Amino acid sequence: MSAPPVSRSRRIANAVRYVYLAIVALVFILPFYWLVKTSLQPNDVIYGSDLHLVPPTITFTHYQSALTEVGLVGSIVNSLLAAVGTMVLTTVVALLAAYGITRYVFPGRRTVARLVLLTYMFPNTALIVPMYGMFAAYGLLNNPVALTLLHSMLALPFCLWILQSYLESIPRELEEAAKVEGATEFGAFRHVTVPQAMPAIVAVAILAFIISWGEYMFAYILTTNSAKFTVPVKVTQLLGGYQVDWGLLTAASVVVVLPVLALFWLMVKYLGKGIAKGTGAI
Amino acid sequence: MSVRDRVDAFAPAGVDIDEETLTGVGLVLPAIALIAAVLVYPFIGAIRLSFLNIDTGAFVGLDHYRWLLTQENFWSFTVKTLVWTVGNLALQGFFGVTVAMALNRQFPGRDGLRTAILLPFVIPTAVTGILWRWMFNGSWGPINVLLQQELGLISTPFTPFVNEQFTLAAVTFVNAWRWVPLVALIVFAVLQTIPREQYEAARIEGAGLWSEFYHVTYPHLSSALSVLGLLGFLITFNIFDMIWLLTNGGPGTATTTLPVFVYEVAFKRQAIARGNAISVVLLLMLIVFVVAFFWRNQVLEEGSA
Amino acid sequence: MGKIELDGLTKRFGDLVAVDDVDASFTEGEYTMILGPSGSGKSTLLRMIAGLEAPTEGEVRIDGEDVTDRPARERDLSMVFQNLALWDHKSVRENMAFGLRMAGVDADERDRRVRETADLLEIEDKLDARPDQLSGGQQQRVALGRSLVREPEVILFDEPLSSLDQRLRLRMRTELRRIQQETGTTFIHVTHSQEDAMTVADSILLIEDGVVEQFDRPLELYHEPANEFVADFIGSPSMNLYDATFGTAGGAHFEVEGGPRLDVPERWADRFRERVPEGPVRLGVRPEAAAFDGDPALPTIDGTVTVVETFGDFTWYYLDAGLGDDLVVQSSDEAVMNSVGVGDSVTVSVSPDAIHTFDATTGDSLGTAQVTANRPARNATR
Repeated sequence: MSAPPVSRSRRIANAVRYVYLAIVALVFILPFYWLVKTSLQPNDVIYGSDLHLVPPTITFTHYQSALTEVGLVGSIVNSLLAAVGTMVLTTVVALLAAYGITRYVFPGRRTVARLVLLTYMFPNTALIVPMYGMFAAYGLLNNPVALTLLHSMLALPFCLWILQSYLESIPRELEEAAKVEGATEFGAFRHVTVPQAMPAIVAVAILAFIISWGEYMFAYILTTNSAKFTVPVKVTQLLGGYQVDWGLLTAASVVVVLPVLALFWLMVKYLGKGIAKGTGAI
Repeated sequence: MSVRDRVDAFAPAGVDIDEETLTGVGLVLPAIALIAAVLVYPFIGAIRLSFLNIDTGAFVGLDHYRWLLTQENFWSFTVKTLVWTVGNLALQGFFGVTVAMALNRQFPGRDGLRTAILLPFVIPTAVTGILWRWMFNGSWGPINVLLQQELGLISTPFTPFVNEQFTLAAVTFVNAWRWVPLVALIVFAVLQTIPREQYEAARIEGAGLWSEFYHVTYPHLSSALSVLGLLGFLITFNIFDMIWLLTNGGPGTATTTLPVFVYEVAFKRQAIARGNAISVVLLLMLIVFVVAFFWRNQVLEEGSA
Repeated sequence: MGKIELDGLTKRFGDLVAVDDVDASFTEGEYTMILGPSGSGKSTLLRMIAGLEAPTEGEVRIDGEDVTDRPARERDLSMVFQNLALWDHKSVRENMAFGLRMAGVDADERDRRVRETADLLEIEDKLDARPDQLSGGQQQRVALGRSLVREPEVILFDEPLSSLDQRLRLRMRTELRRIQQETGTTFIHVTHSQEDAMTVADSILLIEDGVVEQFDRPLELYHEPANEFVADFIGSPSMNLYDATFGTAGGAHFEVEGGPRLDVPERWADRFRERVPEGPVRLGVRPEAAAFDGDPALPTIDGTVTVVETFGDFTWYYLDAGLGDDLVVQSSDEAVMNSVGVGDSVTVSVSPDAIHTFDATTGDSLGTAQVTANRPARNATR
């Protein structure tokens, strides 16, 4: 595939493009690399006065401490419960709603579609007090169910938007053909819509997981028992005080980030077009 | 299906309760129920609270609101919030679009790169906070070690998160750093929908790079950017955790935006009703913004019709 | 079996009337085409027959039973969509077997029938492929196979040929005809191509603006169009249509606006006087009906050739006869095609047999002077 002849200004532009991307990549990825690097360095290197691009020696002591001494694993379990719950709840609710909006006509349809996005207008800080009161009354503090509900509420508008756009782009005829061939409404949904929308469904599920995993504010407010802390809360705790153990902290951070990265890589591998196609049709 | 679309435009006059309507509403119900129960209902509770005295439970009307509006801090916090929001939007917009455009051409590793740069967004904000506080750590953070000890460019450590002059800018940059990848991804997706022929046609007609952008790229982007701008404004205005994790609203009140102010009043000072009042005012501000936004769009549409 | 009747079928979208009070009876076992321009309501009509669209008013009956309120899956019919609607997440085999699966047919039986149909359509070696791995023609066959395998009474087609290139279109057109004849299934096929309709269909339902203009055998539409719209739509190139005034003074004649006076020879004069009122009228002549041989007994028109389009075995001549629109004449006479060129002044004669007249206000046909030949009769509904 040979490129057509380009003018000089375009060649310069291309060079600029690559340089820019290189810088961008550096800016976005390097800090994280540094985090990982720091977590693997022994304390004398961390607190030393030299800068090393590649760690001179590697140690896993920080990881050992992170995983055994501070209850990080427990918080990972807590986060996992909430995140999986959020993933399931958000995906199901968003999928059903997106299907309803794009395949059915009913009064208020367009309003619903737009209104959902506008929930981002609400300051979440306003909710922390009533939420605390509400969940305390139901005995749901320190309970992943509370977090699941809250995180789903946070993730839903965006996930709904993505699924809605993607479903819009699936031709109605695919479902109509199924109906003509004998499928019920649900049959068409099950045999045609869901498999066709799979890239977006996977993208949305993972997005919901990531949003839940990283959520700080509500997790902080609604868990009073330190054994029930989720991961962001736990890790920030380690930041308190005068003597911050940066080795431990960075190691804990890396542990916290790994599941997200793993899922993320999985998602990308499974699809590239999920989010792309979904947000393309605005 | 254009026929289907026309149904919307010519919606029936009377409400037709038939199977289709029922199914449609039923499918949307869980989502509405979730939002109603977890967002609207508690928020209404918050509004109610804002009219009460917490300790006595008595109705105090607009007392808390009066208190709020007479606080000279309130206005400076509002300004800070606006600076924070607009700064974010500007940075995210500029870099989001330019990165998306830079990625809009195939080259080896393009797809991998596009994925890899999403890193800042998927990392939990707590980790982001930790990460940047480490990067700018006065004693051992890599940036200061680099600038001060290795390169000798500065004599005292640069610690933007504790330096009043820089904090607001610093947190803005970190937040933008976090969101630019997502904006870039969304804009990239939109750019991908622009048919290549339009660029080629422009090129044949003699368009240079800038003309290409102005006449082909921008028209396709403008509606997406508009939506992103609206959402971005709303979301950014309401951000609490990123700022809190980096600076706790400080030093002093240097980075106390309205959401941070709410938290402080409600939790630190235990003045819950007042905190709620601030939130209600916050919401009102955003409602005004949204209304103005849609009204402006309406006016623009009618103007160009 | 497979008899479809429409009774007062209407579809409204708010103020827009897409289908307006359509009555029609589709003969079982026939290949009927629903023909019309874009926006005529033909697809909406088809979708109401399929059960994908609920009519605002009226009834749909299949084999005498009122199925108007029944969803698509309860009507024993199948449909091929314009974009084929093949499921690319399923294999060809799974696509074709879907209907049988929904009907509860067991796996072995499904397999057998799918293979049989695939053989019929010559795609038996593609059964395990995905639709997006196939060529356009193969995909067409899969879509057709999916519909055939259930052996429905009726198969509906929504412009299945529209997106095909010319050669493939002609091949598929013939293929569809062949299969229809072999299986005896009722085919109802929506198209905007009058050529497809004329060459293949047993009956044509011509629809415009939601109203049925004529529902008849192809040749009836050609020779005896019910109104000006039909006359103009059918036939390629279109019929030449002009404003004229019919008079009887000095013998039956037509004064064509801006142009010649056409005297009707005595032999035909009475027939015209019977049907055509004096005064303004619309006059139509098909290009194939005008001839260069200039029989002096017949009315003639003089003109200058402006454009010549040759197709090999016949040629179209565009004549400027002062009538406003060019008069298009088709000739397959070799002598003519070799001699007549652009700029030539020619005289063409028109047999009154081939003169169509239409009411100047309503467009309705006033009939032709031709004696109806022995053609299979068919009730026109309008």
